[in-house]
Amino acid sequence: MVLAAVKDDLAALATAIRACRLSPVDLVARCLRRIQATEPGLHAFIHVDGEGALAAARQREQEARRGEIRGPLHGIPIAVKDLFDQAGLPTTAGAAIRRSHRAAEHATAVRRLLDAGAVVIGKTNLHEFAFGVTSINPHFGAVANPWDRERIAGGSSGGSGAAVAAGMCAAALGTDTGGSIRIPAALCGIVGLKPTLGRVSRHGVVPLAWSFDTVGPMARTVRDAGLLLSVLAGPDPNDPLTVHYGPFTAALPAPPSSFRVGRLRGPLFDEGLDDQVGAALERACDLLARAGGRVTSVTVETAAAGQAAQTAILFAEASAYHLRAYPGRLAEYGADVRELLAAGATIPATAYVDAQRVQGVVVAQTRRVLEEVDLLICAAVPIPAPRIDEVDPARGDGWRRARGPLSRLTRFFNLTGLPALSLPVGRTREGLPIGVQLASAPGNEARLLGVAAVLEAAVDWTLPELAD
Amino acid sequence: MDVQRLLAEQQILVDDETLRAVEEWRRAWLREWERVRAFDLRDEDLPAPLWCWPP
Repeated sequence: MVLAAVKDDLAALATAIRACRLSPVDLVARCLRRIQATEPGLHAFIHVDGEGALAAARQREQEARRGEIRGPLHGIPIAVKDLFDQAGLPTTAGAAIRRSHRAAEHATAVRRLLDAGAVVIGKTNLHEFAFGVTSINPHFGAVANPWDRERIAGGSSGGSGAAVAAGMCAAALGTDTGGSIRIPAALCGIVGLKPTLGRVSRHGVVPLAWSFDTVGPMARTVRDAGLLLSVLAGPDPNDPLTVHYGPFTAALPAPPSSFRVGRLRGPLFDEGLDDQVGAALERACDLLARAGGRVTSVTVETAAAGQAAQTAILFAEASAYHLRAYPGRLAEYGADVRELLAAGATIPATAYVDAQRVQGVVVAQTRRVLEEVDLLICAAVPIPAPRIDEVDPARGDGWRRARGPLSRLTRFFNLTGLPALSLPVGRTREGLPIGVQLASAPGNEARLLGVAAVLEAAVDWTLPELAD
Repeated sequence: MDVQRLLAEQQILVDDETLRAVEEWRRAWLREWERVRAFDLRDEDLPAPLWCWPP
């Protein structure tokens, strides 16, 4: 058995590298051995840049010996969802039609990781073009869940989720348009943070739906997610949405001594919850109350209508992008994404406008709720990870039935643009991770991470050594 | 509106199986859309990007 390459958090790794107690070359080599041992069963990566990562690690090591530390991620191996450009490497977006693509420059998020000293170890597998929540990819393989190889890792950032959970890298980059960071984080037992829309530049990232596309970290701990956000966040002239927020400097926020948590109630949040997921959510609320939180029930009356609005906006934008970027090539897509893109083209312009008007109403109602509480809580994914054979488009239409439930609870936070985080809080009887979602007001990631750290400590979750 | 014609007008060619699936998707979406249709939108409810987006 090749043990997980990474067990310490990012700050501990960085401290050890700075003090020359840990060699970046050894760390990267351990990750590569772990990838070699686990990848055949996981399909977490599309491209492993072994040579490039080792060369970068050697440089970081020499720099560390000279006391030249580039930043808080100096020498730390990070995986990047294959939706981000990294100069010289392919950005397939998980699609056969982009196999020959080569990026000319770095995506802003990748550049910021590299400037902070990170070593990019490879590009992770995903649902084709990020348009799906299973990461069953017809071109690059189905990403398996490290906790049970017969189950999905979730998506669309499934490769990033599996790679972090299996200890193949220290952390990973993901994107989230309807839950694509938080769903795999919940199903793989790691922390996934979707920052406020506009916090992190999307420049150099293949789009899915501009109104919702968000870049964020996937990590082992809340503290790691905060550290990564501090590296990633900040204005970028190449992404006009980022002008609204400054850099994120509260990487390790002190836990608040008291806070108000609104437990989201209503049909959207209460119906269809697996019993074990519901019990885990109850326990999380109890733990927050014991840690000084005041937990009350809150409702957003328009949340259910908002789901239909989010579908209309996301599908129409995805279809608009793809039909222009790859005209006449739908037949080369996987069956599910082909169907969804054609479906999006049937949404009338009047529905798109009405959906944006409903979005405004939902945003306003949610803002009012957030005047009464500091944070919102609900489950992350209402069901445990389905089996791959049950939701593989090549084996039937189970994927259509699973798509709605898997993203049901995450999409609300894309529609409202709030920062939202999935945190592991327990396991099912079968041993599969269960996550809860916390969200805060726009731009208040510091409060979100602070309370998430309180819950994380109360849950006492440790990512175990998962088998090869 | 007929889905096949709607797709053809946009020069989107799909096989029969995909066409049937899209027709089914659209029926389901129209059922879901009823929630929005029934929504009490006032004249002053502007599209989010005009006043509150990004958040």
